[in-house]
Amino acid sequence: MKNSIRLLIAVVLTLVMAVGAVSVWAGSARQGTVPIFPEEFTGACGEGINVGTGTVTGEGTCELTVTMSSSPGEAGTLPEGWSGLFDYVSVVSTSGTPDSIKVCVPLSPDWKEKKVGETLNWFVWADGKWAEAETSIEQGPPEVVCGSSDSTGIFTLLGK
Amino acid sequence: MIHRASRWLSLGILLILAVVYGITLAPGLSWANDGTDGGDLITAAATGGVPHPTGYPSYLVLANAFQQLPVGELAFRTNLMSAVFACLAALFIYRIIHLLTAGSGYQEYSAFIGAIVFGVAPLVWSQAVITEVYTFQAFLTALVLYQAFLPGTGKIFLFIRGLLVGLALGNHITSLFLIPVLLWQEGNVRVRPALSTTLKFIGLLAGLLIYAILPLRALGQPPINWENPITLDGFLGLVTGRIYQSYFTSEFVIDRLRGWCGLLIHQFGLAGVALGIYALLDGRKLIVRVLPLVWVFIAQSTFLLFYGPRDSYIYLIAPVLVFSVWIALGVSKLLLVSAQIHRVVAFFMALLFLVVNTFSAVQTFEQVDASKDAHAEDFGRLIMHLLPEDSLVFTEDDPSTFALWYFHFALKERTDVTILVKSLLPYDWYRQNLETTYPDLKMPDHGNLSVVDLRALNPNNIVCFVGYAEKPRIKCPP
Repeated sequence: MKNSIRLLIAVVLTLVMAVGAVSVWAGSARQGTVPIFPEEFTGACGEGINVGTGTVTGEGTCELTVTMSSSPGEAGTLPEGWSGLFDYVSVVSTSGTPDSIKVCVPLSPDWKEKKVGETLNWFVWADGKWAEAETSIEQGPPEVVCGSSDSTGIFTLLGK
Repeated sequence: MIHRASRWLSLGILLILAVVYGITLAPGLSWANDGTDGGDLITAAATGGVPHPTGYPSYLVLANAFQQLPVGELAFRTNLMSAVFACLAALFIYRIIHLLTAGSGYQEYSAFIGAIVFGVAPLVWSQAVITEVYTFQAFLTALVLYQAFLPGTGKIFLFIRGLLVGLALGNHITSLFLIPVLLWQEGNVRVRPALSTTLKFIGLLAGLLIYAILPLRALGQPPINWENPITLDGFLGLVTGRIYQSYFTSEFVIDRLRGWCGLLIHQFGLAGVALGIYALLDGRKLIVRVLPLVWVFIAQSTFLLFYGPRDSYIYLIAPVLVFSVWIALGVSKLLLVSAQIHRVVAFFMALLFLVVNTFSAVQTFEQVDASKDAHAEDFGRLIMHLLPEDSLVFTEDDPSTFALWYFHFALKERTDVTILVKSLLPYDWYRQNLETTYPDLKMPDHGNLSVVDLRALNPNNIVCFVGYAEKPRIKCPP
């Protein structure tokens, strides 16, 4: 091949590369050296399932799978006037039917000013709608805010 | 025998890059240039520990040697290692090009240009000024490739070729791609092929023995002890990077391919990329001649298309190394063509390469300069100052975890506090690690560790959550 033709091909190929090139390196920001915290936990009802920053407890004879997520997944938009304070905690029964589910997370100092039932409440997404979960504060240590519901579903702590 | 001009040019390469790296070297612990892992590597090397998978035993041995130097602080001494090996990698690239352009007429000049192009490529430079394993990896890759083109045929030489690949594997698992390079042999072999392969294989196994230091270090129960490799399962988990195996994905292939083009252009500019391609278009004969380079380029590039993390672009360092050689071959060829027109044209062409190279280096300076980076040091000192006495400190990300490990374990500051990595709590090896590092820490008898349990079982310790996102975050709920 002639030198001039080689040079021309090289220039053309470089330009093709330049046209297709992007300066962003696609990748997952969540994949660090320290592996991301597991998002899925399983355990039997009757014993607290540690989900890192909180616990999920089921009543009855059943097996639960708990998935933590920062996105609402299948759940709809949050109830009007409320905003999210914590991850979405999806609780699914893989065996048996739990009598009730209780989700507890440590009470953040930012939430201490809030009033349970008025400006701080757990909600659960079940049967295609958000419903308030019975919310209470339990003394610690650590002091935790818990939401209880008769049904499984997607739990999330909301505030005003 | 090395020609006198080669000696001077080699010295010139070392001096130029030593100055360039020296004035941009991070003075201490640094997060610059995606270097958040530095705290883990420095601390593990200094405390007899085992850093994150795949353990990097070859790196640990040398990093520890550098840490004994009587200059600067601990992190600076480890940063220095990256700069030294980047210089040495450039030197071996010079030697590779020298071998490949023998008799071309512009051998010395093109080899010099290739080595400098490599040394000031933004990716290489960025890794040469912080603590990371990649410039050492570049050095080992260059050395292995250099040996592939060296017409040495003695038995010891063959053994050393295998040994170096083994040691490279002890630095980074992507050195698996260097194993096929062992099959390449320049010139006539005086020993039988079977014996040649056996000697290289024995050398490879001997090099891999470096991995034995990982369980030996773990037996000392160091504070950084990833996977606790004293059991076979732990050892295999560590050296195979088990916790990162799920990071492979084909999700980003198209975007990565485009990003790969962008990165290559960013390293060498459009002219540099065109020159490299021009060199490769020389025909099948050249491709066959540089087959080990072609293999490393393709294998490493393919790997980084599929390895998910956002900072995986750093693996382009091996393709950058190879492409620098091709650019030098392109320079050599173009100068020959220019000389056929007139020697003055060739002279000005050579001058143009130097000017372009210098100009791009000046542009790169600001992008990679870590000499004024104090984010990690400031963060570590601030948090160490703010932490309440005897507190349990939960770290929430890579920067905060490794910076606090460095200050707490390597520099032995605030030995009263307990550093707990939230994301590592579910791992058994981490639990064992905490048991030996913090014997006073109360933990549940069985099951996964959780923040809730640890708080409940240690009610007298104030709990703090520490992280870094744009600015330091510290929360110590009452």
